[in-house]
Amino acid sequence: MSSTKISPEQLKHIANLARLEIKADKQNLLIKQLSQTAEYIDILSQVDTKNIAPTYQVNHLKNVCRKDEVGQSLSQSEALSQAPKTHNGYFQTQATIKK
Amino acid sequence: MSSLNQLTLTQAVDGIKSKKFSASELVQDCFDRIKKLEPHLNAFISLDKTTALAKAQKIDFDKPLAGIPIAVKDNFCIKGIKTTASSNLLKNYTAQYTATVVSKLEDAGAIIIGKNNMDAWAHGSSTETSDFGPSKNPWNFDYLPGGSSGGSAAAIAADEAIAAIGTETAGSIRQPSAWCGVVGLKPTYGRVSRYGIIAMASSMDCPGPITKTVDDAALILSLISGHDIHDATSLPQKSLNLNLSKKDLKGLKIGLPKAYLPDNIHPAVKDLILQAAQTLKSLGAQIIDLDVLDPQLSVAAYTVLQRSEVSSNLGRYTGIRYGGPRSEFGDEAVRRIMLGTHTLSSGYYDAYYLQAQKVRTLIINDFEHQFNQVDAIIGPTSPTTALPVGSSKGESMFGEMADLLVEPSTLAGLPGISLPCGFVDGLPVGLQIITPQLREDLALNIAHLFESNTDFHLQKPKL
Repeated sequence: MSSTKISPEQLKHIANLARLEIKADKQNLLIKQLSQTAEYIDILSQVDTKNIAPTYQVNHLKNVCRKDEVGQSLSQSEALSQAPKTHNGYFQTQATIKK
Repeated sequence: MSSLNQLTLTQAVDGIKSKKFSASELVQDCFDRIKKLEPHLNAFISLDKTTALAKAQKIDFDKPLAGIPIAVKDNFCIKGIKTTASSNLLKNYTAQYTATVVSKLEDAGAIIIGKNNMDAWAHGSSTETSDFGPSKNPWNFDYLPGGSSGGSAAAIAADEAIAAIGTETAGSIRQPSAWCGVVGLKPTYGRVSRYGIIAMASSMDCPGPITKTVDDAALILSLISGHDIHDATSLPQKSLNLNLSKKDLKGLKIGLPKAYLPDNIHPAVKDLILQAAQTLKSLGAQIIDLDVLDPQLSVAAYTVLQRSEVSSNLGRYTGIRYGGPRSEFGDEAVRRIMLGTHTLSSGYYDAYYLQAQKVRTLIINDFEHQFNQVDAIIGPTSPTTALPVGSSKGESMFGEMADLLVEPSTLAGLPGISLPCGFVDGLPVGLQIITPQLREDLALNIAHLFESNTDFHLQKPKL
């Protein structure tokens, strides 16, 4: 890892990954704040973690499965009830492929 | 007789069962209090008096919480009820199903009277990131209640409800409970189901009670805990029965980490924690100084893991199935999503996310080492008392610094309780007690003995 400072190009890249639009007037402040946090978390790089396994799950549960039984679910109308746009019983989304 | 809303949970349960008063009277007194104080406190996002009073008319006296008015944080889904997580993006969202914790409370006879204000998406330790305005501290309206379950803690301190349910990722139950002078219990990770709660950081999120006494917290925990088929991380243990019968602390070793009383801590807070240690000692405990890992390391690991999980969890808000567009995320949510996306992104994942998970292992190992020497660990819940309104604005690490002393135990999935241990300049201070996983019984017993031998929990804000 090089410098912890977030560049304007990085900000654009991250915003694109996160599907967020960062308005021009907020970019500088956000760069400053993200750089401050990045600088703080950089103390992790000083910790020796050789031969230490990562912990993703703290209560040691593994391969939790339930019985494959059909249970109650939302009806179609309930599932669609909060959608801003629906069409013929489907969620309506923006096109992702250009014609 | 004082108003019924001032009763503790156990007092209210007894009163209704012995028919000293009715559930309707109790619910009405809570709503009278709410009407008087909400213009100052802003502890609730939504209220449903009509339904609550209707439910109070037909209660089942055999149920453990028959007719008890309870408030829940606004990140718990309740079918047919607006559930916003205090965010603009979800301001019009009506939940399509009910969280397990809420179902359990209602099955136990409780009446949900309303939903509490919080930091938007539970991102913060102040309630100032709420898109619907901050809540205020009942001890002084110019001060913050803490957060993110700040509305819940304020509501209980102000006697607007008999008990409340909050959620904690790192500090969001304990820290506002400390700042508002009430009892807050964060259970072992997995002890209480997360199903139906708007997720913040899934490997750490824990629902838990915010109450007026330790007894009340134990009663609520016994009713909301247990395995849930809908939450794959919920523990297989059966619901626990908590018997707070310990008469003293003889033979118990309690650790006080030096690092939990750092140089920059408020000196009066430090004094109260040392006094609390003396009280525990007088009850028979042996107090042992501990050398623990620097909490700053936990803050760094926690920041990376929490932001990463936030960016993943908030990825589902696309404005397609529910809620508004992503442009409606507030500044704090944007900051967290952005940092978390960065720490998970190609080229940075190993240095940040993976390294943080390894440091998490070191923190867990350190607690295991400490618990070989002591039965429980104590410290201040927060390094300060409540801070003035406006303190968190523009501070990108405000929450992490306010929660410095609760983040290590969070990363290890440990239970912790905060309870009142004194006052500084009229604002409450919280003592936290941390125990090994699944030892809520021990934390509650120590807390119960401390409470029984002090009167801090009996003091109320003058409202």
